[in-house]
Amino acid sequence: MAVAKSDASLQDKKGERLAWAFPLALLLPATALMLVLYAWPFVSSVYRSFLAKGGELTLANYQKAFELYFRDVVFSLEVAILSTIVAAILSITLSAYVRLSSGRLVKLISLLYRLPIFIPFVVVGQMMRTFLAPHGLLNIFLAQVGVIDLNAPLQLFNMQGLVLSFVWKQAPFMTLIILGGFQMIDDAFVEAARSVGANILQVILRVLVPMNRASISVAIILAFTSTVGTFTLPFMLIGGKIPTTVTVDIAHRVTYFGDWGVANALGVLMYLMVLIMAIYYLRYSVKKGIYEA
Amino acid sequence: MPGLHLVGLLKRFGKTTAVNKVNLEIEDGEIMTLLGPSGCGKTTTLRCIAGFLIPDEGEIYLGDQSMTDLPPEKRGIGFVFQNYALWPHMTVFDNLSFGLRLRRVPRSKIKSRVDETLALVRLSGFAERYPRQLSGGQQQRIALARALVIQPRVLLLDEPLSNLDAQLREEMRFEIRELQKNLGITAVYVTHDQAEALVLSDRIAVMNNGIITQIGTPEQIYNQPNNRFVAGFIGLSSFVDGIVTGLDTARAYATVTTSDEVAIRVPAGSMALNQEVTLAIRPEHITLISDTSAEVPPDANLLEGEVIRIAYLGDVIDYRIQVGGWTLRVHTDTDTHLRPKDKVQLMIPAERINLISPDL
Repeated sequence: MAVAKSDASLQDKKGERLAWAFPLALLLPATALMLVLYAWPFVSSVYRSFLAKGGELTLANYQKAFELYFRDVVFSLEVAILSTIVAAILSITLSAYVRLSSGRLVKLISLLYRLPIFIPFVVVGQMMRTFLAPHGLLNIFLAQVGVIDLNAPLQLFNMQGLVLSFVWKQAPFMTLIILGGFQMIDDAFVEAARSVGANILQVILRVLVPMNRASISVAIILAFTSTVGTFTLPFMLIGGKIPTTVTVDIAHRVTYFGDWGVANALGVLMYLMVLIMAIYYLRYSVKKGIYEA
Repeated sequence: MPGLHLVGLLKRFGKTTAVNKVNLEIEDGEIMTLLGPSGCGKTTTLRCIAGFLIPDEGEIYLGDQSMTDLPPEKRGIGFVFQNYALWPHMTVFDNLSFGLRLRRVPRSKIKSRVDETLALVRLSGFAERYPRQLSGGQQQRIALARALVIQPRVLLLDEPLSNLDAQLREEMRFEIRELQKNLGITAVYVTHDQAEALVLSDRIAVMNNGIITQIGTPEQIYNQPNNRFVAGFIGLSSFVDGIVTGLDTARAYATVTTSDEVAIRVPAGSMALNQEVTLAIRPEHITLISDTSAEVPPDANLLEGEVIRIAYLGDVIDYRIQVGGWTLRVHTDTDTHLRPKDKVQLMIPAERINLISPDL
């Protein structure tokens, strides 16, 4: 009896000693995947951005990237920031409208707005080429209603057209996230604001938006990073014209010059653009829970 | 401050009529409770008054002014929610000052108004806290303060105490009543808790199925329920059906005979011979007589019965006594020790029996 008991306690001790390893074992598959599929290509890409064609370490790739493409880096940032801001305003407005109204129109809108989410960037690019062309649908429509002269149509294969296309594609996706957040907010918070005198606009700006900061931030970060990284849409709309986006430049460097060094340097610059957002997102998601008490 | 009038208020949700042509006059400075079970239309009525719902028919007046078409933010009401609905991203100060800033009250005045109101709900010094840093009771008081700080014309409270524990709830009943009386504000209070309604109301409107079945002071509602629903919903009642078989107009008593030929003496009221009536009898108004020498008042009813069920409730014992073909519930003190099948005599003073119309 006594022997059996000590056997059991021995096994218990062994179990305790191994207990620390169990959670690590659970984490191993996910960690390994992250390392192989994400960390290794990323580190290797950063490393190669410092390699000259002969294999020696150098800053030449960055120097060249700045000399040739600085204007495009700024352009990419401008497009991403502008389209994210416009899409955010639009999606917050639309979400607030759907959240605070009722009726058939709202049901129709809440169905329709989702459609662009399912259309790939390349199709959006093709659509926008016909829609925004000098004699495309938009210009013909504007000429019909007398806003412009079709002999001098709006030129939209540039930043404006790109921003418009990104907004068309990103705003529905942002609305999906933001509306979800708005719908989690109990009616009583909205009604409490109205009872003390807030009109609809004040309810949106002072209650809905601040109470929904988390999902709005997520929507902005996701839309911004995806806009920065999109290649097809700017390629189809602007192509190799100057200025264009960094993604187009990267493809250009690789396709025509086989220049992986400068392409990787440009990739690192792009990564730095989204890094600020990524840091904010990570910090925010760690801090999250402040308001959910 | 002006009184509040509801005239023919009707609200439908699809095919359901939640509030059915409700008329209600709440006097200036009065606290009126809408009391009823869930789904009776009390909260819908309150939300119509607040402007959160638009009634399908009827008018809402505050004094002489119709509020029916005004949006909530123009009605000048204060609303206290069941779940408090304090904005979590604002401090207590910001929660209170929000309404004042919207009204463009000067900054210096905002500070003093907020301080005064916090003192009123005994939470001075909590201005910089966030709602999540407050207990349920404190949050409830802040919600009340937020409704009061804008100096509303009417205060509306939607089951504000139902999320609190029993002890705190009891305390808060008195606090709310005291505050309302001190401020002299007209208030409408919605609850399903009869004890709450009895303690803090000037008058109670009992609602069922979208209509008000009785309005009166707490005493009237408890002691003279005029229909079966009110008698059963507020306090306990046993119901006995019968027909008026005799009228003693000189002494203002009538005799009601049940289908199993038990004669019960009741106050005559405005009864006619052969009228069908329902009697409502409160358990605490029935005395068990085990001692035959006990003094029996001349106008009391004496009935024979048999104990069929006993429930110990702590402060009282709840007996079910079979009398003829019906049962009565009787509450006695805990010194009484009866067993099932014991024969007992019941004494019910005639004036303690309520007559209610059987059709309601």
